[in-house]
Amino acid sequence: MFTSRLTLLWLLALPLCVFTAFFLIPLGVVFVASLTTQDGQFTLSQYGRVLLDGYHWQVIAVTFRLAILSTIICVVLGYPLAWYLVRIVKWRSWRRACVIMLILPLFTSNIVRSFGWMVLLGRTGLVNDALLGVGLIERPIRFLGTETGILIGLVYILLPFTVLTIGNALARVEPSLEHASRDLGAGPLRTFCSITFPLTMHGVMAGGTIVFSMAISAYVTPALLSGGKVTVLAMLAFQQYSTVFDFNYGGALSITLLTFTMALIGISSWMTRIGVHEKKGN
Amino acid sequence: MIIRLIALTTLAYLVLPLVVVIGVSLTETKFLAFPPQGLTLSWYAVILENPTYIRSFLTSAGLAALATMAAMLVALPAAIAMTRYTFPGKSALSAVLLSPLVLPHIVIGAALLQFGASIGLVRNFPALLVGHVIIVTPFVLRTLLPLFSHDQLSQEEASRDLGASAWSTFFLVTLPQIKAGLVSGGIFAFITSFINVELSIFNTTSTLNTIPVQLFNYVQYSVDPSIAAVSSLTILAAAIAIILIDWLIGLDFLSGS
Amino acid sequence: MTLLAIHDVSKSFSSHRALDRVSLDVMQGEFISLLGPSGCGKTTLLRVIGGFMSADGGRIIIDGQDVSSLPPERRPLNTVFQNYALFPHMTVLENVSYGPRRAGASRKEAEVRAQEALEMVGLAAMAPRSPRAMSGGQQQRVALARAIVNKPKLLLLDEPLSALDLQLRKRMQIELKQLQVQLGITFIFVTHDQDEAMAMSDRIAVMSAGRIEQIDEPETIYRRPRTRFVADFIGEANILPMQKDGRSLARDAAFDGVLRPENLRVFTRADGLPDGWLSLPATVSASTYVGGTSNIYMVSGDRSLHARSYGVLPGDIREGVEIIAGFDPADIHILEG
Repeated sequence: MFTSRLTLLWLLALPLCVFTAFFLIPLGVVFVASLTTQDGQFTLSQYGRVLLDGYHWQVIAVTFRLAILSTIICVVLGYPLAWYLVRIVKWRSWRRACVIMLILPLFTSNIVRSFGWMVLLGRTGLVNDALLGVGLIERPIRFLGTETGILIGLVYILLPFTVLTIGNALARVEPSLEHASRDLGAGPLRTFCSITFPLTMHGVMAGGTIVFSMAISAYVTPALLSGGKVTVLAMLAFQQYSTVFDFNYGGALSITLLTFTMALIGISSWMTRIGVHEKKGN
Repeated sequence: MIIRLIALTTLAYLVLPLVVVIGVSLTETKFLAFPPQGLTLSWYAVILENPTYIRSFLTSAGLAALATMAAMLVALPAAIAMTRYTFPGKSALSAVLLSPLVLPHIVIGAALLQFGASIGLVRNFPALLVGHVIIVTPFVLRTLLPLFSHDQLSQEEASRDLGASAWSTFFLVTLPQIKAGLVSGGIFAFITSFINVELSIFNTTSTLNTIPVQLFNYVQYSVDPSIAAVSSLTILAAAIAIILIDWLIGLDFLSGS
Repeated sequence: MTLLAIHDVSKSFSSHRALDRVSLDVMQGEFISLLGPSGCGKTTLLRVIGGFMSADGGRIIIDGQDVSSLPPERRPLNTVFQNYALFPHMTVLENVSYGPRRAGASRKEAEVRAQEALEMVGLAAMAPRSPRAMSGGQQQRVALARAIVNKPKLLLLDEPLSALDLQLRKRMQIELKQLQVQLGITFIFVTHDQDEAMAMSDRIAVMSAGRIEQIDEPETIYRRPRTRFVADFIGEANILPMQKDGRSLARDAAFDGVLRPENLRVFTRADGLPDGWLSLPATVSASTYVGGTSNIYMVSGDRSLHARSYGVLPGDIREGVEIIAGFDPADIHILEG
C-alpha cells in the first residue's frame, strides 16, 4: 500500500498523546516532586529520608524478603503443576478445566481472594481447625498480621503466572530432544537436568520476573492480611498520598519503588539475553 | 506420582479461597462461617437492596466498558503502526505502551493523582477513566500485536486490487481476522479494570466508588457475609468471562506437541 | 493496439535502484513475461503497475488513461499474488465474489459470476469450502478465478506457479496459456524460470539490475541475445572469441560469439569436419547422458565448452580424450558492443 509517513503519523497520534499526557508527564511530575522541597527548591533530602533511615530499610527488607520468598515458592510449586498439566494430563477436557481453575483467580479481585484467606487463616478458620484436628498444633497459630500470612496470600495470587509461563515453555520443548538424550544413555533425571530444564529456563525467568515485580509492588494483599502490623513499601507510599499528603516524600518513595521494579526487570531481561547469546554462541 | 500429588494439592490451594468465599456467602449466620451453617440466598438479597452497592457496581461496569473501548481505540492504531511500519523509536514506544503491565499500579495512581491535582482532573469519573485506560491498553495491545501477520499484508493488497478502498479493506479483510483477539484482549482489559483497587483508590469518593474499592474499605473495618455475596458475584462474572475467552480463542495452549 | 505503456519508470529503495528508467509497451491480448534473477526489479515493476508501490518518476498508461497516481482499487487490472493472498476467513465462493461485490454487483449476481469463474478453472464443486483446507494447486486456481472474475483488461501474475511441484507446474502452464487465449486478457507474468517464460510467452522482457536488457519473442531471445547477460541467463551458452563478421575465430576476444550447446559438435578426427565449419581442439572433461540427451563438457585452452546432442555418445568419447569441437559459423551469434 502507499505506506506514507502521513498515515503513520495519524496512527500514532492518539497513542502518543494519551500516554504522554496521562503516563509519561505524571511520572515526570512525581520524579520532579521527589527532588524538591514543598517550596519547590531542589533537594535530595526526600531520598535522604527514605534511604538513611533505619525504619525504611526495615520496610524495604520486609518487602524484598516477601518478594524473594514468593518468587521462589511460586517457581517451586509452579513447575510441578505446569509439568502435570503439560505432560501428565492426558484427558483434554480435564486440562481445560485445570487451566480455567488456574486463570479464574487471576480474573478475580485481589480483595476477594485475600478476603478468602482472611476467612481461612483466622484464629478459628479452616486452616487452624484442620491443624488442630490433625494434632499438629495445640493452640491456634496467628497467621493474620504476620509475614507468613502475607506470604501465603501473595503466593496464592501470583502462582498462576509462573504456572502459565513455565507451562508455555514446557509445551514448546521438542519431545525428540528428550528422546535423543535418553537414546544417548541419559536417565530421566539427567535428561531433565541437562535438556528439559535449561530449555524451559526462559519460562522460569519470565514467570519469576512477573512474580517478583508484582510482589514488590503489591498493596492490597499485604494491606488486608497484615492487619496493620506489617508494613511494605507500597503501603508506606500510599499513606503519604492518602493520609499524610506529603507528595514530595511520597514521590521519593514511589520513585524508589519504581526503581527497584525496573532494576529487577532490567537485570532479568539482561540475564535472559545473555542466556540467548550463550546458546547462539555454542 | 509425587508430581501428581503436588500438582493436585497446588490446584486445590488455588481453588480453595474462592470456594470458601462462595460457601460463606450462603451461610445463615450473621458472622463468617465456613463450612456454611444452613443454606440461604438472603445475603444476596441484602446487597441487591443496598443502593450503594448497586451504584458502585454500575460505576465499575461503566468505567470498565469505557476504559476498554478507549484502550481499543488507542491500541489498534498503535498495533498497526508497530507491525506495518518501521520508524525510529519504535522499540521505545512499545516499551512505554506495554510498561503499565509491570510497573507498580500504586505509583501510576499516585502520579496521576499528583498530576491531576494541578489540572483539576481528580476525584471524578474522567480521572478514574484516564488511569484505567493507561493500565488496560497494554492488555489489548499485547493480544493484537501477534495477530498482524505478513500474509495479511498481501491479502490487503489483493482486496485493494479487487476494487475495495483502504477503509473497506480494513473492515472486510483485516478486522474480521483480528476480531477474536480484539474481543479477548478486550475481555482481559475489562476484567483488569473491573477488579482494580490500587489505581482507583486514589480517585474514589464516598459517592463515586467502584466495587473493589468499596469492598476493600469495607473489609478492613467490618466483615459480614454480605461481603462474601458481593465477592461471589464477581467470581461468577470472572467465570463467565473466562468461558467466553475459552470459547473465542481456546485456552488449551498448554497442550504439548 | 497498445494496452499498457510504461514510460521511464524509476524506483529506488534508499540507495538501491530497483528500477532504472524502464519503458515498455504491451499490446492488447499479449502474454508478456518479465524474466530475471531475484532482485532484478521484475516484482517491483509489477507492483508499480498494480499500484501497490508508487514510482519515483515516470508514467503508467493503461488504455490511454494515466493511472500513475491512482490507488490499486481504481486501476483496470487484477493481480494473482505469489502466495495467492486468499482471504482465510471467507469461503472460496466469497473470495471469488469479492471483486464483483466491490464493483457494485448484488450478492446473487456476484455469486453467479463467481461460480462461472470457478467453472472456468475447474473448481465449481469447491465453492462452499474454505481455502485453508485446499491444496496449493487448488488455492492457485481459486486465486486465478478471483482475479479474472471481473474480466480485467490486464492481469498481473507474480510468480504464480513457483510454489507448485514440477508436474503440476507444467500442467498449469498449459492451462494458463489456454485460459489467456480463451479470455483474450493481456497477461504480464513475472517469473525467474526461463523454461516457463519460453513455454508461455508471446514476448519476454529479460531484466537485470533494474533495467530491461532485451524484449523480444522467445526464439529471438534465445537465438539472438543482445547482451552477454541475456545469453548466459537464457539457456546455456558457449562464448567464443570471434571476428566482427562472425566468419572466423579471433585470437584476441574482440567480439563475443554465442554458440548454443546443440550447435557444437564433437569430432574424433579433423577430416570429419564439414566444409566451411570452424573448429578448435579440446579435451573431454566430463560427459552425462540424461533423458535421451548427451552432454559433453570440454576444455579448450582456458575456455570450457559444452556440447549437447541426442542419442547415446560413441564409446570412444571418454574423459581425458583429445577431440575436435566444430561448428557452423552460421549458427554463431555476435553480441553487440
